[in-house]
Amino acid sequence: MITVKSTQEGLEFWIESSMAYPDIKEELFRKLGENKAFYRGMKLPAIFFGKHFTDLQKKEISGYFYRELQIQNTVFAEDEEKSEPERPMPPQPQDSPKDEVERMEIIGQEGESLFVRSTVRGGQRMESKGDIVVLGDVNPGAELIAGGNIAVFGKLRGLAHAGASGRRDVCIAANYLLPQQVRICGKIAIIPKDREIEGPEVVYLQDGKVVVDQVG
Amino acid sequence: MNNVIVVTSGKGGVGKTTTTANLGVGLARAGKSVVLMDTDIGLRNLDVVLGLENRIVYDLVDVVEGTCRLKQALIKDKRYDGLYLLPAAQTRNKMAVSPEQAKALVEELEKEFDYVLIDCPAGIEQGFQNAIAGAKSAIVVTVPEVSSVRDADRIIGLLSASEITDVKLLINRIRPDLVKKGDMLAIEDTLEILGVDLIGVVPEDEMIFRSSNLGEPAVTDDKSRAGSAYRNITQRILGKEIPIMDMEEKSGFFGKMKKLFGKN
Repeated sequence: MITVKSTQEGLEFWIESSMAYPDIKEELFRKLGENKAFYRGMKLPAIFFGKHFTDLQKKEISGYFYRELQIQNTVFAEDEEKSEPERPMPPQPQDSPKDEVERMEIIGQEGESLFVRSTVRGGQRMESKGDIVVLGDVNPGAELIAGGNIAVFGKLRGLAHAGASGRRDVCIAANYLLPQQVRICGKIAIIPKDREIEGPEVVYLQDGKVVVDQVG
Repeated sequence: MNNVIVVTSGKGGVGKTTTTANLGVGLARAGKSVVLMDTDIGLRNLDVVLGLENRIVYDLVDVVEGTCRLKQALIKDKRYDGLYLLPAAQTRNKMAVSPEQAKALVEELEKEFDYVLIDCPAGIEQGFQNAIAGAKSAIVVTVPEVSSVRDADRIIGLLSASEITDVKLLINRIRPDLVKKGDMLAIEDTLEILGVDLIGVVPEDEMIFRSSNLGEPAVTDDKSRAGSAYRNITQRILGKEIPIMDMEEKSGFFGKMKKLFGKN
C-alpha cells in the first residue's frame, strides 16, 4: 500500500515497510502514470517515507520523477533523519488557488526582477520569479511569465502571466493594453480587441475576477 | 548594408527567391560582382527564376562534401557581367549541410565577390540556421498580411538572437487599392508592429509571374512597376538614399486634381 499526501512540504509518499521493491515500483508508477498531468512540473519535492531503498532503487525512482514528471527534487526521508531536507522553493501562499492552470517553472532568483530593454518578439519567452519590466513592445506570440508583476512601457500584444507561482496580489500594466491573453495567478482573461484605449491601463484580480482599470 | 545579406521571411511564398534574383541582377547591372547562394536544399528554385537550371553540374552540397571545387559549382550568368549562382542540391535535404560548413562557404565566397546574397528557405529549422550562419545583414521579406508579419517578427527575433542586427524590411506584393479599402495591412501598420527600417516596397505586379517563368528577373524590365521598385532597393543596398516609391496608382489628371483639392 502506498499513500500519497500533498502537504506544504511536498508530495509525500508513505510506503508500507513490508512491501517488496518490485511491487512498490509497479504501484507507484501506475499511480503517478494515471495523474501525470497533475504531478508534472511540480516545484515541491517528492518525499519518501517508511521504506529503505538501495542506491540503485533510489536512482531509478528519482530518474522516473525527473523524466516523466519533471520533478527534480526527490528526497528519501530515511537519509534526512538528522537534518530536515532543504526546501529550496519559496513558500507557497496559504490561499494558493485551486484553479491554477499550471505551475510554472520559473528561472532566476526569488524576488529578482527582469528588466528588458527591447521589444519582445513573437516566439520569445521571458520568465522571472520576480517582476518583469519591458521597455518596448511585446508582440503577438511573445510570452511574459512572472512570479510577480508585469509592466510594459509599450504595447502589450502578446501573452502576459503575472503571479505565475501563485501570488494573487499582482498586476499587469501596459501603456497600450491589447494582449492576446492575460493571466493572473492562473486566471485567464481575454480582453476585447475593439475597445477604446485612452492611455495606460492595469489589470488585476478583484474578488477572484480579472478587471481592467485606467492607471492613475 | 553589409556585403553578405541573407534574404529571409519565415513564411513561404512571400517572394524571397524572386527578391534574391532581382537584387542580384540589379547589383550586377550596377557593376558589382555578386554571387547568389541558394540554401533551399531539396526545394531549389533560384536557378529556375534566373533561367539557369539546365546549366547546373555541381551544387552547394558537392562543394561542402568536397566532390568539387567551389569554382566548379559556380554558374556564371552570361547575360549580366559579374553575376554568379551557387545552386542548392535538389536530391538532398537541409541536414546535408551544417551551419558551420555554410559559414565557411560564405567566408570563401566573400573573398571573391563584392556581394553575397543568400536565399533562405521558409521555416526556422536547419535550413534557416544554415542560411543565416554566415550572414552579416538581413532583408526580411513580408507581404502585407497578418500571418506573414507574425512570422517576420519571429524571424527578426531569431536574427537578433544570432547577433544579426542590421535588418531591413521589404514589403512585397502590396496592392494600394486593397490597402485603401482597409483589406490589406498598410505600410505604416506593418512597420509599427515590426519596428525595423524599411528598405523598399514592391507592388503586386503580374509581370513578375511572367518574368519568373521565363527566367528573366523583372528588375531589367523598365515597364514593370515591381522591376523599378527592385531597382530602387538595389540603389539603397549600395548606400544611396532614394525615397520610397509612391504606391498610388498613376491616377492621371483627375486624380491629381482631387489631390490638389485635398479630397484624397
